[in-house]
Amino acid sequence: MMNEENENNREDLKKIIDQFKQEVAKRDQLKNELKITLEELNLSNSEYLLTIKKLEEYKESFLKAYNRAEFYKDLFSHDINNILQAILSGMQLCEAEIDDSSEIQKDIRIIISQVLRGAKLVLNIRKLSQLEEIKLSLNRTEIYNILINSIDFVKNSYKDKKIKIKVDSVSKQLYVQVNELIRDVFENILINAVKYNKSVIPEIEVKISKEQKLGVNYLKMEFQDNAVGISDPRKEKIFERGYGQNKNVHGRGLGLSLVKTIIDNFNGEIWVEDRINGDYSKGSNFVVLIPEVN
Amino acid sequence: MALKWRVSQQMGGFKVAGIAANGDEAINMFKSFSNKPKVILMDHRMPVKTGIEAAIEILQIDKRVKIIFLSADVSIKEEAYSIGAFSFREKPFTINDLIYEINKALECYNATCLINSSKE
Repeated sequence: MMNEENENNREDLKKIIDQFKQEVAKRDQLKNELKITLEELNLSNSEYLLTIKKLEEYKESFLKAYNRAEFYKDLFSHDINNILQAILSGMQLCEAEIDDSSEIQKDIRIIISQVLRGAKLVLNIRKLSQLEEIKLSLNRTEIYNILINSIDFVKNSYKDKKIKIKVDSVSKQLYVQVNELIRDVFENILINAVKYNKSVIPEIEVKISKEQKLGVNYLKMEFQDNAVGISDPRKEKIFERGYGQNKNVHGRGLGLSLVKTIIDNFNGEIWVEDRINGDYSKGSNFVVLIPEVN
Repeated sequence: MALKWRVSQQMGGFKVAGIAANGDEAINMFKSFSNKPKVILMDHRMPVKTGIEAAIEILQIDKRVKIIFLSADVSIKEEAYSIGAFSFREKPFTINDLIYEINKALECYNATCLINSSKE
């Protein structure tokens, strides 16, 4: 009886020892796994710290590059405009001194117009860079009167030319979500239509209607001109930056790329069509869509 | 001196009281005049003292003087108006623009107008 009981106890003890051994083995395995995980974690952590350090370095070098670009931009626009001012004032004072019929007078006027062109270029570059930096805020704006003012501005800029500009609008109260740069859009399109025009009298008709596209209400403005026109392969390219730098092409370059960037900021669209379908030489139709507001 | 002659002879016949080379000189020159000028054409980026600094001090001496900022630094436009400048013209401007601006400032001075020019 005693022997049988001892035997049972021994068996139980053996089971307990086996279980204990298994638990120890499990624990050792877990310990190893934990060790591996810890090593991996340490590795990940050092990789993470390295990545953070690299990111900090990139951030710093980006900031340095940004500040350098800002400095050059400021230097460019400020100093170039100062130089242009000196040339412009000097030339205008010479213009006042020299006889109106003199040949030199013509050269002076060419210099003055080129200086003003240079100033416009500087202004356009500044506006483009502003648009890229910040999305300028949009406000509910009445643009019929802005268009009329832009037309007056263009007519005044070409006092020696007879220009016909007609507006055919659904309303004289046109509200859209834009900002003050809408004036640059109108002036650029109108000036191009006069500048690249070989007709005796440059004619522009601005047709304004309303259009719904993908559930959005747009104001549709069509600027139809009798200028030299734009051939099909050039219709998209004229809105690309730097396109006008090609000497074989009339230089609408930065002006229209600025217009496109501004319209994109207004969540609108711009494209060009032939005024008379299929015959680009009869002039262009610049179509602008801008989201309408009540 | 050539500039002074040209301004008086060719730019609408205004009498030029003086030409300063920097902001500090402008303040001292303004203090020295017993008969103060009515209009000041002020640049901004100048050595010793900037146009804004000079304008603040000059306006403390005489609130009536009309200061027209002529600068290629458009970033100071708002600040110029806030310290009491009459107007701001960005370079490059035409002589006609400048004459128009001076006449407007003179009209305002004579009418003891206290408001700024419109911020065009």
